[in-house]
Amino acid sequence: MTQDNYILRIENLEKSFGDKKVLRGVNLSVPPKKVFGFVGKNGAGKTTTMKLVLGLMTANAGEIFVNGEKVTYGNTKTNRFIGYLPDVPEYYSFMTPKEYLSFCGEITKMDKKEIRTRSEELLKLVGLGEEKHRIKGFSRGMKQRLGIAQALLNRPKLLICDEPTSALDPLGRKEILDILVAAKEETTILFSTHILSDVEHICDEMALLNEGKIIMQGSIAEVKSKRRRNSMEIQLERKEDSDRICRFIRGSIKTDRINIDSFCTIDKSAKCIILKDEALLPDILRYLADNSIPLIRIEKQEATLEDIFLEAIK
Amino acid sequence: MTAFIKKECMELTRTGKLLILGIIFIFFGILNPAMAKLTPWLYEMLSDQFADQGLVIGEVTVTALTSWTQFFKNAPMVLIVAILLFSGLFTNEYHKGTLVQIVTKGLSRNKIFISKLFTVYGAWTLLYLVYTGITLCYTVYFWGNDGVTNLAFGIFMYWLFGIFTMSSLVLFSALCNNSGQVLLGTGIIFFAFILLSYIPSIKNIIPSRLMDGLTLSTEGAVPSDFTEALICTFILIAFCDIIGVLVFNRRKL
Repeated sequence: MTQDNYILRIENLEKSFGDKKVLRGVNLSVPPKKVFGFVGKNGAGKTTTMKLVLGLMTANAGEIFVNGEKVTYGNTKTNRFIGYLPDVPEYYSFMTPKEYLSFCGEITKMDKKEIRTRSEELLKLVGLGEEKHRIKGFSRGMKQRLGIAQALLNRPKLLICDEPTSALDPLGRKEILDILVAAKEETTILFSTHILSDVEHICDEMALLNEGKIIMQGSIAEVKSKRRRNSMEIQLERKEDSDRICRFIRGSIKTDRINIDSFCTIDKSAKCIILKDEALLPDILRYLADNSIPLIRIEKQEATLEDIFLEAIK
Repeated sequence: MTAFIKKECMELTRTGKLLILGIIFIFFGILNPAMAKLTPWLYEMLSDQFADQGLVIGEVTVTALTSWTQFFKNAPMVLIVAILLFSGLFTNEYHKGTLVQIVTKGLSRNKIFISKLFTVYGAWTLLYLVYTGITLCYTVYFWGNDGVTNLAFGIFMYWLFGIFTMSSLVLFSALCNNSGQVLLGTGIIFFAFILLSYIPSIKNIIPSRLMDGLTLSTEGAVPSDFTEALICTFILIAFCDIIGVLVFNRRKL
């Protein structure tokens, strides 16, 4: 992929607030038509990066390109490619959702007919099609949903969502994630969050921001494969069987001088064995069958994003 | 830009600001001739008390000029009310973060600033017209308009002073983060010019001179006496608007 094919490209971005360096040379490339997870703990610099992309702040160093055009501070023209959903979206509360979308459509110079059809389509998508009340009494979830509708109104090439699910209850979160998955059909989504299950749920690619730098980037599978483990978890019905299996493993490796812990460990409940070498599995399965040992499950242990995140930010 | 002005107008009407301002401007518009009309009656009522103290009140004659004197006396009141209600014009939006979404939609900051400026200019003009219109109708009805000279010019000058005050309010709105600071800044400008008007050497060239529209009728002043003040005010309005737009383009939203 050439550099101009990326919908968003950030090069060596640096930003300080006083003495505090928030971004220390961020490099990031977002390919089109993907949901891109921008992950980092609170205070990592996610919102700062997004505000710099939107031209709402000046960078100390580095460059940002949206759809191949350079972002400048203040009146940046690149914002015509972007739809933005802030973490806590605020609206003109004296308007109804339809009026607000119509207002947004007019300022982005959409024609009247398109504003009408697109507003109806989007309000239906976000479940506010029948809402005739003013925004004043809306819940947080409703505001987030309206936020997505306004951000998608002029069919942006890039939708920037700043922690859209952080303040919502599980139902509200699911609704937002479903809407974002549906929106993926027509735009690229840059989705900042610290909720890793959300990233696993909807993102195709991700970048991990820590202490002002991207320390990991790639598809979810790639990121996970970097920390792949080969261990298996064997859960047994009876505690005493765990010891039997450990004895069997010791016998299979035909030495008792080697520390058994490097091959398997028994967890605290004594019902689970973590097998660190997959090669031993066929023998163990045979042993379980031969001795009729009751088994609950055998599962390959995958590294979760949470493990990767915690390990990476250590 | 039309869409943003439309939004501003919708905000003024739906939040009830225009209604409050309308009521106050209408009230003062009626109060001016009413006070003039009631003056003889008030004096008559109080004449006995004054007589006890040895003061004798002669016959009080009320003319159109009495009503217009009230008009120019009450004009600062309505202007202050307008300043109070418009002080949150920008700062409420900074506070809520509503402008961020508008800017990220590609509407230029210049257009936002100019839309808001036009909105306050428009609202002040409309409300001032109501205030003037009501006083004019009642005054003409009761006393005709004899003895008042260059009235339209006097009224225009106060309107322009209002426009200058609104420009400084918008400038402080671009500079400050909350409506308290905006009020303080605009208030300092407003009262500074009133204080400066006590200095004879500059009183004729500063904007506060435009508040003296009544002197056209009472002290034999002529419109050309106000040329310097008018030029100075136009320059200051342009200064406030240009600095305001430059500051607003660079400020953090």
